Amino acid sequence: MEDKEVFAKLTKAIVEGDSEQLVRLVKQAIDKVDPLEMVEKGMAPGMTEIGSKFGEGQVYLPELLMAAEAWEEAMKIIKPKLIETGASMKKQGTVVIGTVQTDIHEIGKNILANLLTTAGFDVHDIGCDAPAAKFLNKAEEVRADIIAASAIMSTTVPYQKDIIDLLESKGLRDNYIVMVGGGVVTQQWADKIGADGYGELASDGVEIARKLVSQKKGA
Amino acid sequence: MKEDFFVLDTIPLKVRPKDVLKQLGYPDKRSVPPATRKKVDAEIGETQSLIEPEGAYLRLEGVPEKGFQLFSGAEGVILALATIGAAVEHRAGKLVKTERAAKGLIVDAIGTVAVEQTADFVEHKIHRDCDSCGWKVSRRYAPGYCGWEMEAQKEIFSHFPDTLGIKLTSSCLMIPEKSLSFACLLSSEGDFSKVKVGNCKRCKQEECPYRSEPYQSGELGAFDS
Repeated sequence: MEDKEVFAKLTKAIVEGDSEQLVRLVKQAIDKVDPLEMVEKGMAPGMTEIGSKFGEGQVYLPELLMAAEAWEEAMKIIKPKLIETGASMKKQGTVVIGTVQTDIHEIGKNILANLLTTAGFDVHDIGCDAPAAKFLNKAEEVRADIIAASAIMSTTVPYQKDIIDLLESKGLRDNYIVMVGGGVVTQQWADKIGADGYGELASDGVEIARKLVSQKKGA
Repeated sequence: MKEDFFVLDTIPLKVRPKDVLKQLGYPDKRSVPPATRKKVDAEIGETQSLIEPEGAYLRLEGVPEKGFQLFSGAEGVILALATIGAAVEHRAGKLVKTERAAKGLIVDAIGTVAVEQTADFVEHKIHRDCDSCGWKVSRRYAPGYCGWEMEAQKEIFSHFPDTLGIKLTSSCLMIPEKSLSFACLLSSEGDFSKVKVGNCKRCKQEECPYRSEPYQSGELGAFDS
């Protein structure tokens, strides 16, 4: 099988979220095809395609997550090979993610964390019920590009503003991109508190994060 | 003030794939890929045994003062709890954290459908009981929605000490998360027009995703200050 054919099959398996097929293909090709090319020319285009389909409303969140799961399964085989060959994938950026103080809802935040990891971000999850200082301390520790704060309830949403207020009070606001999301969060709320990015759904977060990091690095 | 306290521990539930798919955002069955449908069917099978539906309710004569200002005008109120226990959300959380997010999302949706069905059952039982006593009952209202403050949870839970294993956090959220608390209004005549809860025109929470009509200034509501 030619490399091109392998890449096309990898792309298809990702788009179909078919972990078993993807793992089978990767195992067959791992000693014959450049592992970095398998990722960049085979799997990554699949993630782009499924992301576009999701954006156009052709597929829904479960399909997007199945593709991400398939990616992660394949990467368990590819990563050691990448290390062995000294190749490295381009890191998209570093994210500190958590659910704000007094809020215990995690599923949306965990889904975004998964998707960001799949997209090549280095993700540090600080869990739920996290005060503003915890976000900042972790962000400083890992030299994060993005602080992503989730809040589900109208009663917990104000704690997203606390994070921005804390950054401003410490003179660190320009050091970080602040993204907000969660059940009752809206673009208007994000604008009102001066957040840099807002995603209606966990899955919107990846594209927004990519765009904002690219703008920051280009600035 | 307290008259009766009922616990419902035999609640028949049937989580249907179509309800789970709707909860996941699919507009119709044609939009569901076969692989997703297969996963949903499999997860309903796996998760069903983890669902432990329970409910409780009691009837109060009059309306509590604290946290129930929007209910003034009602002759009485029914307070209720519904839960499916913690096992489903634990499974969903574990799946998402172990890179099986699609399954986790499906299990979470199953839990949401199940707890809503549990609350529906409790509400239905309330309506049946009250009908037989000659009371008219409103639809259910939950703290945090329709302009009703979350602080009301404290009043609700003060009437249900150690009931169904549901705990209230300092921010008035419930653990297990797949739990619902709600209240229904009582009226002998069925006239709930003077009650302020559940009226978008009276609620200043402009960004609420559940808003059905615009706020009208001059109307007194939960978010007026």
